[in-house]
Amino acid sequence: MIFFLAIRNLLLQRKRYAVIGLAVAIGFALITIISGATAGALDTVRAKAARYFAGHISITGYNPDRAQRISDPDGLIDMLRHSLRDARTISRRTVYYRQDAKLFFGGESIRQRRLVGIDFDSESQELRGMKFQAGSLDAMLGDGGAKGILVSQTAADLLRAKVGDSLELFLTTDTGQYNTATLVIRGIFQETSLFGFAAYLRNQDLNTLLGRSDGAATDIAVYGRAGVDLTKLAHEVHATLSTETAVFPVLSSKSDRSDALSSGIQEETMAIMTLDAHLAQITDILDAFTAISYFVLLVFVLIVMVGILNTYRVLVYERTREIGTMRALGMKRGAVIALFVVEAAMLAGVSSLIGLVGGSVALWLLGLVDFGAIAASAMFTNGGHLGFFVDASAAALNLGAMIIAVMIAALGPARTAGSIRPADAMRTNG
Amino acid sequence: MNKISSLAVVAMSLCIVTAWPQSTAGGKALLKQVDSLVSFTDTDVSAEYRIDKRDPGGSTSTTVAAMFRRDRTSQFLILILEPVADKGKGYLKEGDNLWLYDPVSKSFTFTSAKERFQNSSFRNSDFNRFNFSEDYGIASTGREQLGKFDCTVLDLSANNDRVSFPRVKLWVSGDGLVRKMEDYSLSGQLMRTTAIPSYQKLGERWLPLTMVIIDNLKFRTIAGKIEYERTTVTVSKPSLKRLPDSTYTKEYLEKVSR
Repeated sequence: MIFFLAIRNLLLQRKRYAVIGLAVAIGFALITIISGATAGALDTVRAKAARYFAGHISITGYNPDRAQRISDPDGLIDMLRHSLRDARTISRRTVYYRQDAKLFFGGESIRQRRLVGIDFDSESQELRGMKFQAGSLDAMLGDGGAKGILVSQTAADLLRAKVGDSLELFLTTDTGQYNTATLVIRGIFQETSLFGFAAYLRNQDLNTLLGRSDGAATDIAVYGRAGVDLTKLAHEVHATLSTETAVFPVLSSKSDRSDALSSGIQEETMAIMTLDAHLAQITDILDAFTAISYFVLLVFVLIVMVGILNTYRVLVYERTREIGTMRALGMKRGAVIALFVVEAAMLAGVSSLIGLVGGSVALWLLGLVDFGAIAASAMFTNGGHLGFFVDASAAALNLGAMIIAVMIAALGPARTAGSIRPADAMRTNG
Repeated sequence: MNKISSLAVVAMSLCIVTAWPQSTAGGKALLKQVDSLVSFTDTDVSAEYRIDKRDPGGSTSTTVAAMFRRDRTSQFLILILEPVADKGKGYLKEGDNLWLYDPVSKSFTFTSAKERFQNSSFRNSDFNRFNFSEDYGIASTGREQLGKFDCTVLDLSANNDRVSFPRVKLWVSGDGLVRKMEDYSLSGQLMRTTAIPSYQKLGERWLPLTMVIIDNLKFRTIAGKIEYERTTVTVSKPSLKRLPDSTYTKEYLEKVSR
């Protein structure tokens, strides 16, 4: 009965409610866009970082001589594959961390922050998200990928090189000798400067150049299934590895890793880090952005609450005779209060849902816009496009918060309405 | 006829077998001579190095540095005098350690002898004396005319993995001085070619007067012609004056960098 009356009142008073409803819808659309864009940006950064930092969870082998090396990568990978149910892909990598690697082509050269040797056949599923300006990931699969290299668009532009060109890769072997290789560019990927000064090649090719065996590795990349708790997975990795080899406690940041290493190690020891640990500074920026967006939402909600409060005060005054009539017909005080609160809740709910749909459509449209021309956007976009990401749980939380806030705002005038006596109501001119 | 042929084959084989160790032994002696002619083990040596780098295409940069060296203790100190932006920067080598001093931050950082000096093709290690006879073995020898020099060509392979270039090819003139040098990577790629057309005599030893270094990895085709990055090193104001021990210290480098 109350719901029916609430709907009827909403429809009858639709012109008065339209403005406040529109404000709620716009506010909710804005918060959907802000939180969706932030979540999409974080998702994009994490996907890029996973390629760069060896998966969602990276395992790096450190030796007493400070060299990065895992002596039995295949054995550890087998163990992890048997024990981790939530791992989607586990693959070995050889990462060249010394920062003297250089690519030479046509008289130009560019230093690479890291060279990443990948088992492309086992990790291809995870690398599909790479955006290629030319060439493709497929060219690196199987034996066709031998003597091939994937370079960033930044590197290719500077070298004025294109797919199919042969460039010279310079590095130093584990013992410090100079080595070079002629490699064919199989793909040019689009990547931000943070993750862009890296080149990807087959790990056996990189191992050969470094003077290591074909199956050598410095890292093991672990990718978790969608939605899995990476911290929990990291602890499972730790529990599994610690039965076989020395392992640092799961590290929560790069400074933790430095501290662990500075204390000295007596034997080969594994360092386990989640993506969040690698990205601590970036996630801090995005968390701050999210906090600001929620502060904006809070201010907006307060404005909406004041608007609702004032609107309902006027409404209660204007509807005094109607309230008196309902009370005279036997409606209880509590029912009158509930009627106004439910009315406000329905207004907030419907308006917020309209805002959610509008915000999602706006996000989708934003995803079509190419932000590539804005250099600063490169890190948070994929090929210049924003990630489309609406988190259902966050949207439900926002929706609930908005409805509760509006109900609280309407509660005061509703209580006033509930306290009106039929006799007093009949004496008013309203 | 068959007997004569067989005898000829045996004689030739004997010649090859006996000539090989002789040429290797001769090569080793030559390498020792190469090293000793440019090693100042009984005194200090100092000089001013002017390093002109020309990129393929034409842009140039110049660095002038003062070099103080004591070969018997494997020490050197390099002080950059030009360009003004880098004036006061210095390198100090003590044994296997090489420190870079930055006068702006007034701090020393550990660096590698394998690093390029001021981004040129000249490397920090090139201030050192040669040490071919200890670090390399002779893979093959030959003879070649190099301009006016009749040279012995020594193809060297590193016998340890501490050296930067696993393979080096030397052209040594009759006076025991290196006139040309090619440095190769582990994969056999020619990385750097150095020509030393002239030397200056200091006592009984020699110091290069000019060196031209070609970076074989840095080149550009301009008007159909390949141009390499070229670094010309001119060594002037040489001296064998004995220097105080304090010259090869961090304190001295800090003091002269002010």
